[in-house]
Amino acid sequence: MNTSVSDTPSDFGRFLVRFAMVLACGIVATMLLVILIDPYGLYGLLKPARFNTVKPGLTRYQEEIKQVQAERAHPALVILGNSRAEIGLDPKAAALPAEGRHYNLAIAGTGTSTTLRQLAHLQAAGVTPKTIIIGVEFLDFVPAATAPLVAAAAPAPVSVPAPAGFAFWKFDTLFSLASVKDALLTLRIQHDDEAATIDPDGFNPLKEYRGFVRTDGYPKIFAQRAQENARAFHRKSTTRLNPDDLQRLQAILQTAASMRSEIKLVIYPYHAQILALFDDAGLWPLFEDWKRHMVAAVAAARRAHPDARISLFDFSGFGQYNCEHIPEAGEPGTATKWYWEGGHFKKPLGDIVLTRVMSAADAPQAPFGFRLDASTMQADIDRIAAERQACVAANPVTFASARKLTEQASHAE
Amino acid sequence: MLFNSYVFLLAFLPVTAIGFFLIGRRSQLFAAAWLAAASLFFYGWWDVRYLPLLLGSITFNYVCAMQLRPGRHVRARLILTAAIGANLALLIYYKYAGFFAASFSELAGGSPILLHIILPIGISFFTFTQIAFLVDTFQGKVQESRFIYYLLFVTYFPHLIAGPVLHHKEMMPQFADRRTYRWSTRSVAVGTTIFFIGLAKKVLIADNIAPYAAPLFDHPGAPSLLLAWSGVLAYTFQLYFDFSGYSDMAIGLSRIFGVRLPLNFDSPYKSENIAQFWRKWHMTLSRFLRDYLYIPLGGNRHGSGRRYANLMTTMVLGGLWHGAGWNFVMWGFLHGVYLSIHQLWVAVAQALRFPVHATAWKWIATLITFMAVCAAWVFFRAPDMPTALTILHGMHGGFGIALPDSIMQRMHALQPLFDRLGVQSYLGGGSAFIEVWGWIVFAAAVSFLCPNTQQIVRHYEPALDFDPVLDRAAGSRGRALAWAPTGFWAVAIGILALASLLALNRPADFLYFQF
Repeated sequence: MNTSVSDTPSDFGRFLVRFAMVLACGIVATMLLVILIDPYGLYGLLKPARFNTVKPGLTRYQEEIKQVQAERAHPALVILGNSRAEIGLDPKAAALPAEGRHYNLAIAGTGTSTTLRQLAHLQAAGVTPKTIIIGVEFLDFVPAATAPLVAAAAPAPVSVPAPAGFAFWKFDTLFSLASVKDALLTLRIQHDDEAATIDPDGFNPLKEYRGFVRTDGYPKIFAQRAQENARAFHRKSTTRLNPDDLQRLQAILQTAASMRSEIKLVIYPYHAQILALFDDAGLWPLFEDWKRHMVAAVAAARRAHPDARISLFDFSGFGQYNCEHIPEAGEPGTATKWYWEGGHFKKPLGDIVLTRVMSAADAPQAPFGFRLDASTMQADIDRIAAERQACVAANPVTFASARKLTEQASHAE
Repeated sequence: MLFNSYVFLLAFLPVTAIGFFLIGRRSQLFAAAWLAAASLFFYGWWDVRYLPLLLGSITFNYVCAMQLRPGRHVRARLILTAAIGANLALLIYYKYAGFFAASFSELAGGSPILLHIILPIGISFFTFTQIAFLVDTFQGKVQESRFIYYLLFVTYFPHLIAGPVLHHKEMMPQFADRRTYRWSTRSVAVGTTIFFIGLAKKVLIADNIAPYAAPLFDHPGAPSLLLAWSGVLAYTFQLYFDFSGYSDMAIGLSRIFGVRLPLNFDSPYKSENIAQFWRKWHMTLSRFLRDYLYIPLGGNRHGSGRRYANLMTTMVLGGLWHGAGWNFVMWGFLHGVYLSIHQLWVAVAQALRFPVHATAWKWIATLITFMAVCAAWVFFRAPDMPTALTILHGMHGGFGIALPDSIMQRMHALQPLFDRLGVQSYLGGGSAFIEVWGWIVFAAAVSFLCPNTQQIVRHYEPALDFDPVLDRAAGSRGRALAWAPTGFWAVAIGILALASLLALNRPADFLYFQF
């Protein structure tokens, strides 16, 4: 049977008109949905309580969305860095100055190029924070062992391109399946204490980890991340740093200094497990070398900008916080106080970090947040060596398991 | 320019269609020229440097074809041989020179030679199309020979990049037909429906399942049984929805212009044997290989031994057509072996009076065929032979069986079974495991249980070689899903189009563009 015989041209014409109307109405409706629910905090038309106050964690266009929010906030203090800063350093911390707004611009998985770009855009937008806290990540500076050697004499030029497709991301955050999904997710998570969210000041409270802790427990979370880290560290070069990243660090300091901001560089408080994995992967000498480069970069920036206020704090080591005991499966009281897992510290430790970072320039030296410069470099190395001995004695399992994971990673390759 | 991009949908397509029908009111020839010019623009959008190559190839083949007049047999045969040789030389240079150089240097024990030749997009398709035209001209089968229609036949944008592989005898008469140049709401409605079904297959299924296939083939490690199978199945469905989605889009687009293209897919994974699979997968290429390679080689006319040799030759060359690499040779060889086994099985089953038409056997045969096809896709997708063999080893349980710890925890009741089977657990990957198997189940349900595009639009002549018997083959589900120009279907296709447009934010290349 061929039913098409009975269809007339007007039937097809009506079909096309209806189809076009459904499509047009659908396009308008989806755009309205995204604008009203505003999952990325870009429009702000509707803000009734418990409707869209809580925003879902950003999974795309983090740089663009955070940049827009930061520029709107005109913050007096910004925090830059990777996921360690994004989920550890809360702009609402009591230690931060009360005046002005603060914004956490840190983005997971990003490095020096993003930080440099973010600063350049802030500068271009006329946003000049009084204080800039920058988390610096050792691993960002270490190329893969297989990466081609770059001649140190001719590093790639530093460029500050605009975020790719600047206009398109605005359209894409308004009209896309992902935006519709995030809009609906926004409605769903208003009362969910374990949903991935982002605060209006850019801080990621990592609420989803509460669920992971409840279902899997800290032992497994630590173990899983340690496995991943051991594999990643095994693939890193143990002999060289990336000259492009070192050059970009210089550019970051120059840019921040030219904004007349006070710059506070933070070497993250890695958990002892991570440092043990560095050591077992053969990265330790490079780690110390990298710190020397940090010190040299700060000194160079001070020379170029004599008025600049730049300080470098080393929170790495094996002190009381870094050496927090990693719970074992079945161990009673398995919660940790300072760390979600080896790579990421919790807000309480982040608050201590911020307290130390905001302390007066003439405050006495402290083992946690050691002020680093050419004159204190050796003292810092000695401090860490002493802390390590005590940590090994207190938590030998942490070091033994790190060694085992490194061995497994080298066998797996 | 991709079919699944805003620039194509919002600019190129409307401008081309409006121009075509407006010009078509006054001059058929100018409308054809407009469509050919638009098609060349479409091609040049990727890399304008290859436009001269395409135009040169078209001109050369047209001039050669014009020399192939009946009655000048010896000279014509020489011209034909030279022209085919030139086409193959062009293809070999761009597609296979690097492969041959690397293989030669490897055999000689030297360091690999890298030629860095960039493959012009669509070269395999437009070369094969034109070889067929030359052969048919030589055999006196070509009726329409005006250059503008030939130019349009080769460059016609819906098929230029990745097929379907067109045959001039089914296209040239349509380009010469006055009715093609008149706006038809019927054709536009049917074409739009087919296009958006294809777009949905591509952007809502293939592109979403793709991220679960890539990690296995890029970094296989030592994949345990379920990880290996999930990656391979993800690719199996990605490839089908990607390429059949593309073919639907090509058929739909062409239908908007009033030109019907041949079918390219007919639910191939539902096939009960490998011969049937090849009648349902990339049908226009299978037809080409049959008509211009298998049959000229002798087909099945010279005994079973020669038939098997011809099958193997055809499939290995078919594999090489897809890409220059030993993996593609292996893929073609495997399918040659499958087809030979099938031929043997048919003879044995007939002798034993095996109940091949029993429902239970059909299910088993479909499953066996599907698994054999999946195993062959491993060679098709893997970047090299060691990776393919590692994945196959994993698919056979060579690296054990493992489940994410978070999932095993929730399956306490099955722990004794897990222990007996030696199922291990691993940390992390729980949500990815659920997502990939969720997508696989969904894609399998659509592939195996739902009617295909032409079955849905079966009452409106969706394609050139559409078989009305499909109406019955679609079954009860198919009958419920029979498209008609009704309000219900306007809403359904409108929603599908909206969802697809919403998913266009990351336009991904079609897999078959690389061939």
